[in-house]
Amino acid sequence: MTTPAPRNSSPVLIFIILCLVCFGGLGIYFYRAGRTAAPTPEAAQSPDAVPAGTPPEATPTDKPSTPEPSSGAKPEDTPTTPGEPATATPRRIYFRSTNVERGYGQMAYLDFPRLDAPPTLTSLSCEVLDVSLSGAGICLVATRGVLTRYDAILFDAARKTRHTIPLGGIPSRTRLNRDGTMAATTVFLTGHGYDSVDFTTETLLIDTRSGKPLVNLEEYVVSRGGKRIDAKDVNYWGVTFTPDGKGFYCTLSTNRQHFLVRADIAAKTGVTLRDNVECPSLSPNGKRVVYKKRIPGNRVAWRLHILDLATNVETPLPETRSVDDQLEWLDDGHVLYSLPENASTPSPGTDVWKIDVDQASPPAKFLPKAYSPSVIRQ
Amino acid sequence: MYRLDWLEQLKLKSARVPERMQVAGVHPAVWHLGFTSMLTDVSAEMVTSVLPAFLVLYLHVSPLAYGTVDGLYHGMAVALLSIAGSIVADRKRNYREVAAAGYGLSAVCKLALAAAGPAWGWVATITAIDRVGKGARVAPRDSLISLHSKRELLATSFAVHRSLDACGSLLGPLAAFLILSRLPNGYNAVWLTSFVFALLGLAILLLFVRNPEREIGGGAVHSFREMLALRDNLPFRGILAGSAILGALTVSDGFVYLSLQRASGLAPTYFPLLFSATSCGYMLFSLPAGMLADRFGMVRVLLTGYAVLIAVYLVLAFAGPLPGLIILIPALMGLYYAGTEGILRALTSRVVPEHLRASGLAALTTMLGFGKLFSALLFGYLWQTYHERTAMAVFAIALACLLPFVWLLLGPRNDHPRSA
Repeated sequence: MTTPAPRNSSPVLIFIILCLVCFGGLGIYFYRAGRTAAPTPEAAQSPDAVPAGTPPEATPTDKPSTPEPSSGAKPEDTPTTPGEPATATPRRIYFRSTNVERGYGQMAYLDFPRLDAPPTLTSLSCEVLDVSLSGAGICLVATRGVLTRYDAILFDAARKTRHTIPLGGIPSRTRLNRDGTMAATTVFLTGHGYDSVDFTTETLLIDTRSGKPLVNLEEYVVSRGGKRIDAKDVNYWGVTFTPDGKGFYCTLSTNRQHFLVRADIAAKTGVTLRDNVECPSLSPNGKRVVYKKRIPGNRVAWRLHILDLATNVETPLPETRSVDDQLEWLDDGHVLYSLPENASTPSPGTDVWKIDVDQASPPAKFLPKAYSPSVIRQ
Repeated sequence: MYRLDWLEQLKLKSARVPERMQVAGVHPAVWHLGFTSMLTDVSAEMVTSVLPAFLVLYLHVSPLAYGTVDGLYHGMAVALLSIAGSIVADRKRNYREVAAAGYGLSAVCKLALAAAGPAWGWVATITAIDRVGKGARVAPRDSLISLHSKRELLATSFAVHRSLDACGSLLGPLAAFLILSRLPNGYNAVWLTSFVFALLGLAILLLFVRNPEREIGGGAVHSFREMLALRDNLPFRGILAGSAILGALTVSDGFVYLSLQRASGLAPTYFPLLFSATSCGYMLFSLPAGMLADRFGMVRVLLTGYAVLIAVYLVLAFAGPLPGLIILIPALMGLYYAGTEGILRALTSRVVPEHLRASGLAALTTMLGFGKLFSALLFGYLWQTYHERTAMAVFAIALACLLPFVWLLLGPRNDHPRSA
């Protein structure tokens, strides 16, 4: 009774026309997207590629005509003894380029103080990365395919791959200890299915010399107020190693709480220090931790805070935007973090911002079109 | 007397059992609904397969921030909405329109993804609305399938639909991969293509599927009193109770594959393949299972499907690390789905009066949902307290023990097509 009588015009014809319109439109979209899409890394590295945001005074020697230019002052020329107190003077910054017009996804670097030069691109493509003083480091890569695979690549000072370690999920964070002998990786494991978008994390410690995973943090015995946490819903993320290389801090989440944990690598134990701390990052001198802290409310949003480990005093940082990142210390007084370059529409671009942890000055843009910064200090 | 009765039965049986070429008797509307679902599943699975990487690697957000607990509330909201949608569909007899609204909502969500800001909050909201669309359309669509099908071809009709549906879930991730291999970071292209597939699915529904033109349920009007009177419909009550038990003793797929992955040491990279392999099995086994159900009885096939599931749990509970498991388990899971999912709907359709069909089917889905909620809590508890193998063994044993009871609830006497 409510069913309309079939119309006279042929539904088949209408459907065919709709298909033509839809796929025609898609075809035009794909054609245009293909033309404006990021050039392939090879194209981006060609000398005539114009880097966006490049100052016009850039000299030809700065032009990244080869992925591996032999720069004169390499940090690895002057190694320091591990464990020595760091003087924390930044020398070089490595990062993931998020410039869609030049080297998108590639590891790039800039030497201090010439940070406005065009970044030098390397041949490595990383989702997140960390580099140690020697120039060796870790790079978490995604190899896209019908089945996307994720690996941790350990590279040496010449950026040659030494070890490849398969990862169980989507790369999120990675950190090296000070002498680069141990790495930590955090990935997201996903359930797959229409009804479940649920995630867990997997955090591994990796011996960078042998290229073997040492331990999954889930094997650690962590206690809270003298009582062992043995819930099965425990997730770990955001490892930051202590300067002496014997321990680390990280986040342990269980039952919707997020504890700052101080862990001992040799004993495989840890203790919780306080709640509502995510992605901690230890200052080069090991005295302070910056992290993101959830603000109460419906939306998931974080505010950056700094904790003095000696006095246990927590102070908010003067950043009003929500930051979802593990911070990187520039030196003992400044931290770096990434934010989307465009706050209203999704874009592949991110910028690195800098904030002074001791002053109320507003954050300043530090590096455009960069992600996952790693500062080499000497 | 007894012998005569038996002879009579035999005659009736041979008269009512459909001929071999059952598929040819499936109404074109069922095929069209199948293609709608196929295109919609391509659309949905395209998005689902790339969403995690999009969130973490493109938006750089921590998806862990949103707990799974919220999912339960969503589940309840979706269940309530789907019941509301079904009541509207039953009262107005506009199954096609309610289903189209659900499909349309999901299609719009795909377009909204392209316009969403770089906040996971947006993506989460859109995903939730998408699920509402899915919840709203399922019962009216299944009603259309059942109302367009002859009683003796109910299971076959659902099987045709589910087979096409499973085919879509296979193709979706492949389509997403093809796009991203041509356009790295081309997530907008994925959302747009997904929208086009959803739109074409909706177009098939609107252009080719009509509500049944005959008078449904002899002109009986859907009223809440009648709906409540469904409680007195003994076969339906049995099916609801049986479904609640079955739902409560069914381990969610995620847990099954996680156990399988741990047991077989399969690299996590290949984890999504387990779902694809299951879809493949579902696609292939669905039609034979449906035809068998129409020929030899739905309850029998249904219980056989659950027996296969018991075998899956037993293998996961007790088997060692055999390399063949990663083929065997998805194949068995496909077989289990083929023998149960559509057939349970067909069985329900057979006992629920036509004018209450959508409400009855929505009630069934809600019951299964309640059961699954319980199962997730129970399995999680067993996993945490003991071991995943213990949990699997408990579920296998409980399911095996309760299966005869479920058989009684589902009504073995009504099982034969003859009684339809």
